[in-house]
Amino acid sequence: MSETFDFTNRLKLICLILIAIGIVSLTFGYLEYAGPESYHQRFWANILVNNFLFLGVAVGATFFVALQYVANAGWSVAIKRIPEAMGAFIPIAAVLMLVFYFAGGKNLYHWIHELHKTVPDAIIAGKSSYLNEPFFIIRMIGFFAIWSFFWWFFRRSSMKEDQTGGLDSYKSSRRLGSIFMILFALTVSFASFDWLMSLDPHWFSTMFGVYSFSGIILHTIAIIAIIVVFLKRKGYLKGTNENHVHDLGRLMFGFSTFWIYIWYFQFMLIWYANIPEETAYFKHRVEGPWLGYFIANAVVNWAIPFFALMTRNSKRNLMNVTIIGIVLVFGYWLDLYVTVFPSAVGVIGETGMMPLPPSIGYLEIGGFLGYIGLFMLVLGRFLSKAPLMPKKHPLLEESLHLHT
Amino acid sequence: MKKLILGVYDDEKTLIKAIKSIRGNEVKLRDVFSPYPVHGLDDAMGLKPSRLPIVAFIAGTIGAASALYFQYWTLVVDWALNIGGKPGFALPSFIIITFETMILSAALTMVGAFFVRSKLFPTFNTDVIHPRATNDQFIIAIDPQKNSVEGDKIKTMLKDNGASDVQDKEVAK
Amino acid sequence: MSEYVSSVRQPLVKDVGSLGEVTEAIANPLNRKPNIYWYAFFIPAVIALIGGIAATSYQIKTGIGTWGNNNSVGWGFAIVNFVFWVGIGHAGTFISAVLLLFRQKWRNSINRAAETMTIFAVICAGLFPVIHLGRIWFAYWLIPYPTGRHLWVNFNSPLLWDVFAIGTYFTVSLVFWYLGMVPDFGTLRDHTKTFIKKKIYALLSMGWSGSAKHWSRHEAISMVLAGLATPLVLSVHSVVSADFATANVPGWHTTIFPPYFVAGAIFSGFAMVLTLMIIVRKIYNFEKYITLYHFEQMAKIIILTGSLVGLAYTTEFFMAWYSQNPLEQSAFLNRVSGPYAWAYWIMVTCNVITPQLFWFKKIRTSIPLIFILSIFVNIGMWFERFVIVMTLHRAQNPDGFGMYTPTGIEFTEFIGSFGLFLTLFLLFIRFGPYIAISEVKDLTAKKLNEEKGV
Repeated sequence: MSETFDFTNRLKLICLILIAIGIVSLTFGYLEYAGPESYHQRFWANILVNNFLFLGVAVGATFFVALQYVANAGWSVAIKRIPEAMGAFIPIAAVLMLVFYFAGGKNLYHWIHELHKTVPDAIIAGKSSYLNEPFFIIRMIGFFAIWSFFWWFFRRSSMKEDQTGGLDSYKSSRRLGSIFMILFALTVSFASFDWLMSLDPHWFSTMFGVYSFSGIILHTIAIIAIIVVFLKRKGYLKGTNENHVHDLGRLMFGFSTFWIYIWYFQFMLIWYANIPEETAYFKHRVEGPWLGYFIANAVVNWAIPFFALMTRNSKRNLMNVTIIGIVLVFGYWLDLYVTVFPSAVGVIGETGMMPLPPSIGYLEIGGFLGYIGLFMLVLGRFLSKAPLMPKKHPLLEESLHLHT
Repeated sequence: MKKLILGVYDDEKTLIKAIKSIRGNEVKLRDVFSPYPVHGLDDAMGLKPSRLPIVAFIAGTIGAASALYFQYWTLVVDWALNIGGKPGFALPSFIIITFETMILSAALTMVGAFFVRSKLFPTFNTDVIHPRATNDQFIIAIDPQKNSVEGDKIKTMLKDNGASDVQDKEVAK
Repeated sequence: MSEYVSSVRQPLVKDVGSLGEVTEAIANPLNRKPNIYWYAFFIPAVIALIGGIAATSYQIKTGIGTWGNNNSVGWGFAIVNFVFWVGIGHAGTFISAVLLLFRQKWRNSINRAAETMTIFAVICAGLFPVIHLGRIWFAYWLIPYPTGRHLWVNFNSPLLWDVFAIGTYFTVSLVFWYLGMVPDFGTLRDHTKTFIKKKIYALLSMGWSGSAKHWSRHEAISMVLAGLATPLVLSVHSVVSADFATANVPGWHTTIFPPYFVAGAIFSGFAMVLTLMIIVRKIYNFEKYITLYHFEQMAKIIILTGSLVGLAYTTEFFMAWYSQNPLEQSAFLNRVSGPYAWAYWIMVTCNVITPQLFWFKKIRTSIPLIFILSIFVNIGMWFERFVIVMTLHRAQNPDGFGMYTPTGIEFTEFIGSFGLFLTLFLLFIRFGPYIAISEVKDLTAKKLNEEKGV
């Protein structure tokens, strides 16, 4: 059971090629789309989408680890090294996010410009005790500090457990896990208010934090499922069987339904009450060229996984689960694309900002591939650093004897 | 009237082992009775997974489609009303009733199908196979007429596989 | 194919020697006269129920004017109680369905009581909107049927969604509950000696024999029902929340309402399960099957959902400020400092602050403290709905300002609903399989096999 993932040169090369594609397309994109005075912020909006996506799944993975401890779940022990390794992206995402902000990404946030005016917009000025640059940065650093700390803690205590055994690590992980549950809910809500919702500084929705949470947890599980199947194909994770994949498939199915529930109610309540300051957000998305993307979002993140994972056998079929996992990863990108772009990328017209029509080009595709490469590189390195199977976790045997 | 041979077992492990061994000897079982759902019993007896979930899926689909159509028909076709300036076919408003009707039809149809398929109907007089089958013992029932193996041999087989008791039992059908 | 159970797990049943013992322990009390505790709860419950029936009859005969509702606060106690009881009715299905899907095995010995509670709580909930109709003999107008007036119900109305959501929830929960009880009625039928009881149990058991084919189907459809009930349970309280959230009323129209109501419902439901299970355990001396571990687990769920509810309060407040909408802001300021601020602070204390005491192991393993704190949560969650409904006392224009004072009739009806709930519940634990016998046997068999080392 002391198998360790071998991060072969071939896999590293694939990662590096993807990163190279990313760098090339982002460089060209930067030159083409990131003009300083233009409102044409396509480049930075791309960076934001990718930053949030991969940060989200890294934090989500840490949440997944904590959740398993708190729920006292036995089945997931054999795969817990995967979310542990995914969390390693948090510090890197922190650097990327700070670079994004200082290198020009902050231009996406219309309220920053507004506050520099002599007579700023009254509503934005009213929010300025929360939405102001120093506090925004402090919060950003605070979120990253909390997430990094918990990731580091779970990872370290898991490594320590391999050496010493006993119940100390298990108990302390359970204790900190339950604290993290609550901190996670709080930080994810406010991080998404800051980074995504404030792109449209007049708009507000109390459910936005829950919406972000549902997306994060759904797509985290999708990525864990992809990696589990990949490792199994490569001959690792011998202690796992199709029951583990079944459980992941079941979680994907469940959280996909949870996601559409949040998606629907957020839209329905705003549509129903029909208050202009709230409908402004959805108006851009359901009227005009964005409608197709808006609906595609629901199809890709809910309808496809829902019907494809409905039966027991479909959740146990490794190939099927991988395909749906990959669909969901692209689905998450689409979700964030529809969330960010109509709010951030547009031209100022007479009635406020008019979003540009959607257009997915080399910048979007190349940038996303580059981030995938980077994420895989970090993940591969951390997977290969420790045995894939925890050695002395008190619930390990339950996971190895899993059957449904 | 039909004569059955019952093998009575005291715990699930012995039961599963016995079933495997008896079926291995080409003896067909009529049924097995247990006080709680024994894990792995379906596999040991070679039962196919139930198809009742498919009933739920079909009923749910029909329920959802009819609920959605009904709302459309009433508020668009039969008697169009302007409600709060919303479009006649106000899809976001209709989702909830569509969903609830889907769940209701799926659940009721499936459970109804379960009782019919299992031939469970309200009755005052139950043909109890063994008084402790719903309490703490596990019963293997074998119909000797349906087996080429002789009754006495079956009894020995049951005994050899750990049955605490072997009995004859007459049932109506 | 043996299921491995780690040694760090607490035993879910304690000192049970055999499967037969489980049958005896659960079925025998049903054949005996109940003890003094049962009467101690039953008699007051019946008195409260009779009071409730009297008050309701008077109210139906006289009219809604017997209530304190007025032009500003058109929704008074009736809606508060309705939402409160629907909320309580969430834990049962949550325990049966969601915890089943998440393999929380500890649910096995408390799920039946929780499901029972769900059924009766939803009955109590359903009563209030119906009596609020005023002319309850026209309640059937809620059902879409072809009439001579050629009018259909308004499918755009959240109140009609409620009819469908609560109706479906009640029916599906009832079916789920009954389906789970069929095998247990079989056990009771074969165990009871009295003729009449035997016949009644036989009828209810539908001729259950324990056949493997039946079990196999039973298990398959239970899983599917759990899968159907999970989104259903989320939808029900979300639809209830939509009664408020679709309206353009500051303080009501906020998108977080659906998940926040669901978290609150599970929170209050678990509190009620805790309260009732402590009573049941007392009445029947069930320390072997309902262990301290069960209470601890439920206390942990209370911390989690209580914190989520607290987070929702924070988010609401933050967004009211962040929206920079003066009406939103004044609605929330009025909550914390207006004439009903006392209710708001009771709510915050009971829902956010006191449940945090469960972080201490000493507190969550002490039965009297759990009992007290669970009642605090019940009180706090009732006040949460009161606070939300009382948003109405300050409308957007001063001409709509007004206060609401409930009348004696409303209090009697409210207490009467507790009477109804407890009467039904106590009757059920007197005559029905209040613990899922077959599921506890499953746990016991595993435990016994483990001890034997097979």
